[in-house]
Amino acid sequence: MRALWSLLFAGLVLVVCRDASAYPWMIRHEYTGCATCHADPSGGGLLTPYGRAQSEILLRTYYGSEKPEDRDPGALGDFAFGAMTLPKQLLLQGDIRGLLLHAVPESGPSDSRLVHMQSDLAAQLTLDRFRANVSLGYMHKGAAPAWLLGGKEDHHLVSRHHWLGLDLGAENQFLLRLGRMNLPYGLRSIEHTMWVRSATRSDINAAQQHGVALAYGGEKVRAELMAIAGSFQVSPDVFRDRGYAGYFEWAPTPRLAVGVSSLATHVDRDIQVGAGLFRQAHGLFGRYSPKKVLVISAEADALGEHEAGKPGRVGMAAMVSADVEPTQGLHLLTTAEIKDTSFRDQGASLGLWGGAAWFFAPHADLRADIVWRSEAVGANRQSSLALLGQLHFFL
Amino acid sequence: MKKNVVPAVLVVGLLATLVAQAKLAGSGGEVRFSASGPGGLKIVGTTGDISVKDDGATVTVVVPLANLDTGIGLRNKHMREKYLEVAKYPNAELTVSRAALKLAEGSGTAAGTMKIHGQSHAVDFAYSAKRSGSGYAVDGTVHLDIHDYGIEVPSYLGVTVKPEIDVVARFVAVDN
Repeated sequence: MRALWSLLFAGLVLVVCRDASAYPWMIRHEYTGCATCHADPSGGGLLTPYGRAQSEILLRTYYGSEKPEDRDPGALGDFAFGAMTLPKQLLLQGDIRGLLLHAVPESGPSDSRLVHMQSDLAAQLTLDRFRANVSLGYMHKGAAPAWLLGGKEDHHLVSRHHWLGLDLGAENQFLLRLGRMNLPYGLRSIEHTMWVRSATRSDINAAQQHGVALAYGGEKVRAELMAIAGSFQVSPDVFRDRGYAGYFEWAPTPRLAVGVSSLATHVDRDIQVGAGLFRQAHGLFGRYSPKKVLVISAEADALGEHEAGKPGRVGMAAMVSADVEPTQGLHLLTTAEIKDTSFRDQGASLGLWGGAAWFFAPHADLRADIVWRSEAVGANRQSSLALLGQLHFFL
Repeated sequence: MKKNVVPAVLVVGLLATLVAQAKLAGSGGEVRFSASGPGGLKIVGTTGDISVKDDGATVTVVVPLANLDTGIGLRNKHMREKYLEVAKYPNAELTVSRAALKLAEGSGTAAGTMKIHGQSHAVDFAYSAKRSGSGYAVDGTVHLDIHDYGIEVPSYLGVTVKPEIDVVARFVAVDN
């Protein structure tokens, strides 16, 4: 049981480490696409100048009596608060994130610890239709699949993404990329520990893979398809996944978007199970903002795994989440999730999240969460409760 | 500085309707424009201000622009002050010959003159009219190019909106 608890705790810690911002709830402002604000066409991480301005205009709290139409951020949202002017061809962003975690086990003593989650510098250089994009950072522990250097030591150089891109189409509506990228699958959000992300291995913390991807962003449709060649930051080659991942999302109205995702990979020796593994996931996802104050998002994925020499397993993961923003910059969040990685072998795991995020100042946000989970682990069931506080700054 | 937005232009398509003498009811109207930009950017602006004048020979649909709302305050400011210059040109107006409107047929297309930003341009619009109580529920659509009206194409921090926009107007008109 002690080992089981250690596993759950480690899982919580790993889970909260995350990459920079990716907020599906921007649909409340009628932003259904991602490429206007992010260098990644499917969202998350490095912001464009337009995205930086929206971060100031739409995300953070204002404290004075200033009218919304007078909230012109000027250079405040720029890199380093505008202290230095970058050439138009260069995007640059630094992110630092820390976590205070307090875990309360079902039995045994509780545990508290500070967790270094992120210290990344990301950049993109654009020359005409060509782009070069890279992130480099330092991690003490965690985000192991993104390690570049450090091996078994406690200090690691990490690169979550690095790619070369070519904008295509009369309006650059296509982007062809080669390199290490986030997997295009499902809702792209910062809650990478959510089961829809962890069970499909498609989070934006460290689940990136190398490959080739083609993305499209149109008025009502966005999509991306990636041929996965495996993570070349993992060796030897037997540990590298091969396959595909992709999604297609349609936004019939500015505040409603629905999509489908699909993913299938094969690896000769999976790091988690230690054997050959064919894995697939296929799902639906959606976002809806009936009123500006509320955004509902949901995702449901069918999971399939076939481990070499064993019968196949079929399961599912799903979540539904609500984001309420009663005043600009303050978000009240709640999520219910379920996971069953094998309908045959074990019961369903259940989870409830509640919390708040506050974009309290330019380039800064606080977040507090309480996460309860009741997880089926083989024939056992273990409940856990975790309190998390996070502080994030970016330049 | 910020120019987010899109101007909007508006108008309306309108109309229609009505055949006979018709006048807009006091409420129930809405004008909505949609514009697009790179990366799937879509901007929608709405206003509930709309009125119809009918002098027997022509029907004029008037849309005051001061309350046109895109959902983002700063973007509204740019739209109204920098692009539409609402202080100088407060209204968008569509004028159409009454004879061109075939209300009894329920729907059709017609030609009219759109005036926005102080400049007039001929436009074709589509409309439909359904009997609703003592009047008509009118739905009109028109496609516009803001270049035709001398409106600068909005551009903000590297994001430039396309000059073509679609406008939809819905209102209830009552028979005189």
